[in-house]
Amino acid sequence: MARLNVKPTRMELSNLKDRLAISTRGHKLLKDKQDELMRQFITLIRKNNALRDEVEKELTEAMQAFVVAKSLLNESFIEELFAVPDKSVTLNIQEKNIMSVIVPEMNFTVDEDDKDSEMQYGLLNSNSELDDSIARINTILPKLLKLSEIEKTCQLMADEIEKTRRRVNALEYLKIPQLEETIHYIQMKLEENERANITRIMKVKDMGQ
Amino acid sequence: MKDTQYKGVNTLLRVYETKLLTREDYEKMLRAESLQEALEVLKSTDYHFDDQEILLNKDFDSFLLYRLRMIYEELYEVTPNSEVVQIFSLRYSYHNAKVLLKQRFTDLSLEHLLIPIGKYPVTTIKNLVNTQQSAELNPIMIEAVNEAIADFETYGRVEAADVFMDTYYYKHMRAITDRLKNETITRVADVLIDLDNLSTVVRSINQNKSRSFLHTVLSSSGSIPKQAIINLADQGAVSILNELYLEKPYADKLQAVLSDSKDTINPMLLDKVIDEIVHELMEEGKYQPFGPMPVMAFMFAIEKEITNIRLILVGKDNQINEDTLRERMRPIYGS
Repeated sequence: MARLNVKPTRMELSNLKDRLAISTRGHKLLKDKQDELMRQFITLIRKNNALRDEVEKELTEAMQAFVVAKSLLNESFIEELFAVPDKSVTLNIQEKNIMSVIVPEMNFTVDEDDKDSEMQYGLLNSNSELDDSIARINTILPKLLKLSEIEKTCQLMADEIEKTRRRVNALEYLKIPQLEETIHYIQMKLEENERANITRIMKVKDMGQ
Repeated sequence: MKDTQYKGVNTLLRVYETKLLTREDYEKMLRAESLQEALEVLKSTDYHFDDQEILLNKDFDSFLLYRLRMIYEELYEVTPNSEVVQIFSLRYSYHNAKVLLKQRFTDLSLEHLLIPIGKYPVTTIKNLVNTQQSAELNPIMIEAVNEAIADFETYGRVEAADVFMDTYYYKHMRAITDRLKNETITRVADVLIDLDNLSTVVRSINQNKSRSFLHTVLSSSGSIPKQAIINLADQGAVSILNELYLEKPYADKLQAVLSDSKDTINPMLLDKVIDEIVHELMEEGKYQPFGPMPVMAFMFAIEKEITNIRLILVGKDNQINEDTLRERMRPIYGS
């Protein structure tokens, strides 16, 4: 392990000892942060997996139903039905702090208040299978939006965990051993100097007798 | 118009019907392992397309609609009374009017959704939507467009286009069939409108729509009064079927749409049964040597052929199993 390139003085020793104390404390804090992040991340990723499986399964079924329903109608008819959306969704993103990771908290508001008609789309060029598949997709939508929020949070947390792990490793395997070694080296050097000094004084004393 | 005037076109149709897909063609397509295989079967028929291009862009509607357009254009040329063809092409005209109205209401560009099928070119309908008047188009359509625009200007509801176009489509169809004074065609219109009303009411009940919604979407052009349907709607779709449709000649066919417990109607099956009932009526008139019925039957056949082909191709493209596709196949001409 490389030693730091410093002069072996008492002043440096004192500085390095301070730095080591701060590094050890920092390492402990970062390690705690990493553990907590991991704990939250694991809970979140489990939730994410379960939700993703559920959404994927439902979405595949709904899309398959939609494909069959739409195959009985002209493509232009279908596109016309949904050319003008009957409702709009507003997304309000707020920030949430999980262990200093800023994650989004999404609130979706479906604006239906301004709509007083029950007509979603014309019934002439549509069929009952289309009604079913649209209703199914409508029920999946909130889950899909929730999933997007959780996935983004997981992504951001994974980035932060990666960053923290690198910091913890740098402190644990590089910074702290370097400091310890340098401190040890300065202490040895100082002791050596001390011994050299004593020997010199003893020699000087012998020469006087 | 004398029925004998149709003898030319009816002879021509005997030639055309040989070009329709046969049951064997459908069987081969249904059994195809892949989309490519299904397209190869289709290529040996009267449909022309570049299979490599279609495999790439999956744009089945391009060649299906082209074929449909060609047939409608030809039928318009050879049929003595174009109103007979209009009974079927009206759906496209009203679709175009709807698209243009929505474009006018929202300033979105929706022109790519227009379908160039119908007695009058799309530009004529575009003029009507822009100027609210037309010297060529039927007064019913002009009234429909004006009503929709007036409603939108008063209440700002875009769905006025859907409501008015759907209602006036049936009204227009009824006006044409009344003018034609052909007993079978009148029966076809009755069946079409009555059963579409039944399908609408079943779908609306399933979606828990209100009574006023039914007032808006049901057509009053059928043989069963709209009010009678609405009055029974509270008691469920089965009551409507039992009270109002039991007297109809096709009542026994409708029994198939009831669930095992006889208390609900399967709307998916109903859509299929409606096509089968209309198909039977068409089959009756198919071999009449004179009169407009063979033209009607041929148009119905070609419409269903396009539906069946689209169903199979989309199904094969999305690996939908054969049974699901078979379940949804519409009646085949001559079977």
